[in-house]
Amino acid sequence: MSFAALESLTANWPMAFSSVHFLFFLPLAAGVYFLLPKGKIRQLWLLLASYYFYFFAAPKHLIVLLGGTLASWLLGLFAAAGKAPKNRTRRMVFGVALLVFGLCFFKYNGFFADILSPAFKALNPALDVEAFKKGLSGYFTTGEALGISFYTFTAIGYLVDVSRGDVPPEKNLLDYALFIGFFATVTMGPIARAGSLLPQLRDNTRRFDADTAAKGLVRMACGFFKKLAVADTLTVFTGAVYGNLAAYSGGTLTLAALAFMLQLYFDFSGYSDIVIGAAQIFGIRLPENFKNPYFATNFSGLWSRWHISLSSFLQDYIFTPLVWSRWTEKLPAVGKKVKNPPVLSSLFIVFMVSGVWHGDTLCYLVWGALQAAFRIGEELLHRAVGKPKKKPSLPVRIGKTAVVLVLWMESLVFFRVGLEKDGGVMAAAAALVRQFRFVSPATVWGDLVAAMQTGFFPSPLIALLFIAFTLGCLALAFWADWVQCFRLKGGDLAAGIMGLRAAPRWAVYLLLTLGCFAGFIAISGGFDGTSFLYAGY
Amino acid sequence: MKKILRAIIILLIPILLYYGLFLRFEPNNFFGLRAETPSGAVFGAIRQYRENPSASVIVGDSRTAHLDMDRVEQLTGRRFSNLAFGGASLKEELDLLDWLLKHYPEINEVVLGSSFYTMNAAYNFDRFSTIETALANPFAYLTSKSYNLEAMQNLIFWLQGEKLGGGQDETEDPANYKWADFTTPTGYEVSLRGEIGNYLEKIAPYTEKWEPNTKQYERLLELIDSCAEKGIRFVVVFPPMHPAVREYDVEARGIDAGMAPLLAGLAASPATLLDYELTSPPDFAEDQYFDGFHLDYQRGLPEWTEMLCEELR
Repeated sequence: MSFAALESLTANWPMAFSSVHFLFFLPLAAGVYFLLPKGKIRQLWLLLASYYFYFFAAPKHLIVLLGGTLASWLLGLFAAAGKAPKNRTRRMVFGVALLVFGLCFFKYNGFFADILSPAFKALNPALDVEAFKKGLSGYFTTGEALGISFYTFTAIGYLVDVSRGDVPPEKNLLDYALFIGFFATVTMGPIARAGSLLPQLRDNTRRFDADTAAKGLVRMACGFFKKLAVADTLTVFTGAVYGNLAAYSGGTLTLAALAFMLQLYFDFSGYSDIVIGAAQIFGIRLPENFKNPYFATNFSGLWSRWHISLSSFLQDYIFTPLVWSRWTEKLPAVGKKVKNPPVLSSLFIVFMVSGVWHGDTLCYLVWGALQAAFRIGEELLHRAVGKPKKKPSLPVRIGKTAVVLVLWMESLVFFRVGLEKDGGVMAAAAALVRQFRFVSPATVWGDLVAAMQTGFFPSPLIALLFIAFTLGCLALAFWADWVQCFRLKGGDLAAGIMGLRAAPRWAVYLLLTLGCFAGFIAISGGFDGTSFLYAGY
Repeated sequence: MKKILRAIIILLIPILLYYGLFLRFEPNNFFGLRAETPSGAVFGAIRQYRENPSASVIVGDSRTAHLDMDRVEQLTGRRFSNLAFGGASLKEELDLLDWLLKHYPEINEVVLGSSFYTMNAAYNFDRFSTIETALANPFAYLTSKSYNLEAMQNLIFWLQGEKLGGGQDETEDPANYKWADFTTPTGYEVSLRGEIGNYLEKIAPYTEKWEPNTKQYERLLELIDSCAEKGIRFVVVFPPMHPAVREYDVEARGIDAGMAPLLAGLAASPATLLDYELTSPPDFAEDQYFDGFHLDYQRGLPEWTEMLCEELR
């Protein structure tokens, strides 16, 4: 098969969790897995299936994944070969530095091209800067390698755990490659820990468990509903507004910020439900990524319930080592004056790393700085007035949650503008300011209807139906979140649905199916290139 | 396991029922399940072209899609493949043309059907990527938002008692014309034939937001230049429209003034410009038009086909 034919095949059968291809892929991969005899052949099949998934999702990036897997496996063995702990740590630091270099090389090449081009222009005034930038980023890579931020962090966590002696080095390349490239985690996480995922992947004696698989399927259905029926329908509005930010002001911008806040949550938590459910079908338990963060009453709570696998990674591998290292005491001149562990400064560093991890533009740095400011501000407030009551009254709780959500929503304006190709920090700041201009409710409504008509036949009736559908699905998804948080006390929503009596259970199944189907058509079955928001990180 | 499969099958029933409706009302008869395929159904045309490519091609919207190609061949003495499809936007026409010129280097003549309507930035549909994918993967067609919406639109029309399809059926005996008083979307109180008055309302959501699609227009000029360099004859045709559309929509909204520089640019380009829409409208009678944009298949289209082929010859 020629390269062109292969390219056309992958273009005609795009792979994403919300694609037609995945609907065929998953039952086939799981069916064959359980039909195969128990033994290494199952791991081999799962690895081949994972690479097949990745190849169809990002054909040109598979080579980067393979290279990263081999390199990090060798670095793990190298780190473990150190005899003394200090020696192991030095080897680990070397390995981490190499992996971070690889991440920067493949993820931030456009950023470096931007930085380097003025210097080269100074050396050679005749240089065509645009052609140079294009050539430089094109030479290094074929674009931001899919999932590189996620699997690099997985590999870094593995290296640190190996050097600490928390997990033994994985000597089998097959098992290690599956750990890094497992289809359910490779593109957008959750960032799994070796100590938890590797033993599960190594276990090739599992039997198919219909009950677990059914729970996995219901969880996937909930995830698809969040993604297709809620997040993707909200995209129609947020995409129209943020795609032409300068044209809007006042309530429209506030509404778009609110819509994006909801879209981001339902998109990413929907994704997490899909992959956690898919892995569950194979009998594999992935770490939770979200625990109803929009009911948090402070930023500490929000960050312990939002993108948990990344937050806990940053806490375990950056924040805690920084605090314990008492790095501020080693600073020249001011170091001697420092007496307390560097909690707040380490928090700042962690959030800045989080910002840079999300993207290479100033918008993400500002977003990271804002999160640091909110979190540190909260810490200082607690120090000044004392920690609040553990169980405040309902109005206080609602008020605190509202404050957290408003601050979070406004900070996400930078995050969303950062997703636009030419989105700059000034454009985001201007959009924030313009929210305070008065715009009549009729104008906001007109903007909403017009945006909803984008890409649809310009029938106001269809736009109104679409708005009603979006609001209905949003209300349902939010209600489900509320039930999970307060009634099930953070328990398994899928198990909760399966525990309902027959009539309401089937009503929920039907709603999920129809909502997912309508959302699936709204994204043209994934053929229009629609993906998950976090697929770009 | 049986329980899971049973539940999945039960939940699939409403989706299968929906697809029953979809197959009845989808606009292209993609799977060939219906007896009649509407003229201007893009998939059939591309499939035919793949099987039997020609050096002369026509790309455009429904106004060029309904040409009688046997008659065109008779009048011009060469075979044209008509790849025009209903509702095509300028972007889609150019995407299709790019694809044709890339895959079929034997093409030496291009006729591009255009209009003030397709030159509109507010009318910027983008279905060609879906078309290309759907030809290789029918699921892309089944799940396409555009075609599903069109199918639902057709269902609504059908429920309202309208005929589906087009082309051969676009003719009406003048004895059956129904005249009525209309207030046009631009505020004129006029007496018009039903098809014309309704048409003004149908196009208003796009024409009220009319502005030149500069990006696609520049792309068109670049394509014309590139074809000229390769020795490919390029003809841009603006088919005729009903005088009421010109008077009560185009002129009333000042679209003709917006179109003037675009037409001037095309006239100055290496392409041949045949403008029957705004600058040189033919003197057709009321019964030669089927609706606002389309000529009557029996009384208007044959005469215009002769005029067009005279120029193409």
